[in-house]
Amino acid sequence: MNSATGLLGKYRDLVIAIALFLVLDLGVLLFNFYASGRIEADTSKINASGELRMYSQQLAKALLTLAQELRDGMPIQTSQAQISESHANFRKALAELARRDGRDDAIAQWLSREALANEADLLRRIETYWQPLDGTVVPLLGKENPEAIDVEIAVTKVVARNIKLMQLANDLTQHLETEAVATAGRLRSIQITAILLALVNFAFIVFKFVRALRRSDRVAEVAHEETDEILATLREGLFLLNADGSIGSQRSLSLDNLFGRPVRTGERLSDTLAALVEPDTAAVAADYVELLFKDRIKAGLLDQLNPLSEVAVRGEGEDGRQRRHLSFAFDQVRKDNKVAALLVTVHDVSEQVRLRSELAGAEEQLRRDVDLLLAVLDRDPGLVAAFLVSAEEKIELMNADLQQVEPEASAYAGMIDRLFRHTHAIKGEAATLGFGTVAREAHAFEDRLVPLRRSGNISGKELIPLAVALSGLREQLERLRGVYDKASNFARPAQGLDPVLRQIERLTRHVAQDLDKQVRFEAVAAHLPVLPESLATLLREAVPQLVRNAVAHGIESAEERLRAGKPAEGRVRVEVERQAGDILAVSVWDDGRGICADSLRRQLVDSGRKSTEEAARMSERDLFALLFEPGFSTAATANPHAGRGVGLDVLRELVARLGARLKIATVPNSYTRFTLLVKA
Amino acid sequence: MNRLLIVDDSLVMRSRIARLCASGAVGGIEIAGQAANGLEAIEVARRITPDCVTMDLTMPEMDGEACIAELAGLLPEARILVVSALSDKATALRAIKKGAHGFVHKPFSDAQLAAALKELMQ
Repeated sequence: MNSATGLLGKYRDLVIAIALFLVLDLGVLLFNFYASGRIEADTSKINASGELRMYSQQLAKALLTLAQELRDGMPIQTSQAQISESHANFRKALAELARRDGRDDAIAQWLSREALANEADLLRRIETYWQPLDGTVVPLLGKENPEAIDVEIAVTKVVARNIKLMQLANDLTQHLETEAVATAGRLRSIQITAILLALVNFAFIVFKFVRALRRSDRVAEVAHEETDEILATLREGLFLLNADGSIGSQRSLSLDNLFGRPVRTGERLSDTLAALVEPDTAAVAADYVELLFKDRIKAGLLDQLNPLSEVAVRGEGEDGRQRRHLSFAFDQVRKDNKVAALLVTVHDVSEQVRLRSELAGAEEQLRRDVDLLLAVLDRDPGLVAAFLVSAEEKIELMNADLQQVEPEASAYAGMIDRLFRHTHAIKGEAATLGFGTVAREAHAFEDRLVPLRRSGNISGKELIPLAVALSGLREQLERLRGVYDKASNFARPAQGLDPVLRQIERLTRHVAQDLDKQVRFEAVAAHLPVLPESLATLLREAVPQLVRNAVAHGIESAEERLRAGKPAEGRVRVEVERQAGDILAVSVWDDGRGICADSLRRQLVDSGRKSTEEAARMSERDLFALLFEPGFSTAATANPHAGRGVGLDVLRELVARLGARLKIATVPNSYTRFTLLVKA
Repeated sequence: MNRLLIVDDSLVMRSRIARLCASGAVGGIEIAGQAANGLEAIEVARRITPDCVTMDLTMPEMDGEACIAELAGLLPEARILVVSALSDKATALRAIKKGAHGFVHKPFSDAQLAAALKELMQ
């Protein structure tokens, strides 16, 4: 109903114009019909008027002939018959002229009122002249022996009136002819006007129609442009999927970007997907799309089964860039309750996928850290610290090994063996202590070593990925170290070694600060609930001196360390462990420059204490023993912590007093370890 | 009253579904029969013409997918709910293509199964 009104509303002018056109056409047609009737009537009147004149003449002639025949006593039948015929014909013609049909109607009145009046006047006058004549002739009709006198009267009357009647009939004919021509002209004008009006109306319709058409075209064009613009600026991929599986013509431009190639109209989605996603996914997607076109299946049921809700784009991510993920959403477009097409929306969800996987990774890492923390808390701190120290040392050694360039392939084989042994040891210890993350990483590293170990023919190139893989293991150890350090910060009741070690740590920091060096202090201590006196003395008197020496002499400046390929931060470690036979070992280790026997020799020669030959003959053991002699210092200039030649000589006395033993282990540019052994 | 046929090779699972339906949690449903594999299901379905069916997929003799295809031909009006531990989308889509009307993944809660059955009967 609404649409009908709307339709009429929209096309009202057009409908009215067309109706008018039809009315005009019909009017012209009816008028033509009328006009042709009118012309016919006029023609028959003109004829009748002519006949009037002719029969008047015939009647006069027949009456005269009758009078003559009567006078001559001749037979009168023929002339009497002629009188009857012309009299009847005259009356007939008069009746014809008096007939008003088709000439007296409203239109005729309107067209030629004056002419009609004239015509009626003429007719009346003809009648006036005719009536007396008619009255005289009628008694004569059919009489076998008319009276001569009656005939003479009739002849007199007819002769007297015939001229006038003929003249009047003539006038009437002329009048009718003139009037017919005028009426025809008027009718033609009306027809032409009506036809012109119809033409104008037609032109109006055409104009109106074309204008409406152009307007609706323009509206459609604008709508089309708007749609195009929307589709061009839309970030999502959008297209209609037809029931035959082909992609429709209206789609967003971004689709090309999302699919990584131009999309063609009519292209089948299955072909597109075959190039875009893994074959298995594409096959499931084909099933899914087929089901979406089935009317019996509820859309809600299928929503959860969309195999393309998050799909990785095939063949990407190998060049190190992140693999793209797309998300397809399908909406049924129903027509008459049937699924006519699917509106497909495509999003790039790579970022969401990346964030989610990062979040999952972070959660996993957190879980591992917590596991690690629990494992650390569950173990003897001494054992954990010892493991960390030894594992870190092994990692350093392995790293140093991997930096080496060996001249021969056989040397690489030896190196792989060493790496394997170290890794295996770390794995075993980590597993024993329950540090799964470290054990797994070590195991993974072992896996990389196994094929190299078997191949026997190894080049330096193959070691490069190993260095990278090793960083994974190092990272896990660092995590463990971090967790351990945090766990150690928990206040524990002061007992055994802790207070003493904390004091030593403070000293280390103090010396390092004074000498502007970066030093990390580490302590690894066996669990000793009761501190034996001998050990307490060592820790109180010997260890501070050794730590001081380590920071002052051993650890290089940050720049020097960096130049030597070491971390800027040096490490000083104090270890206390119980050894077999009730022996306690206290060692101070640093990863500094070590003690170089040759430079000690040079120092002896330079100070003039030994000759070059004597110095050369001295063993390392003898040279190191010099360190414990009073006044001997390796530092070039004196500072509060080194260079005065006191320190190690004090140590020698202490060792002697306690009946302890002192061992030195050092590798130039790598480390120095002083170990004191004492009976518990 | 909708008549339900329960198809599952596990007696425990069949009892659980039956118990849920008997508890009135679903409403408008009664147990018309049970079957332990696809072949048995076809035979029982012929006899009792159920209105709805819960269908396991992994079963001996005849698996659920084949059984769904058979039932869809035999009883086109019957509505089939897949109840399976197979949770991948491809399996579910295949079952729906063969004629299933819904699916529930094992393990499921009573509420989940009740909701799926109600949905199935609509």
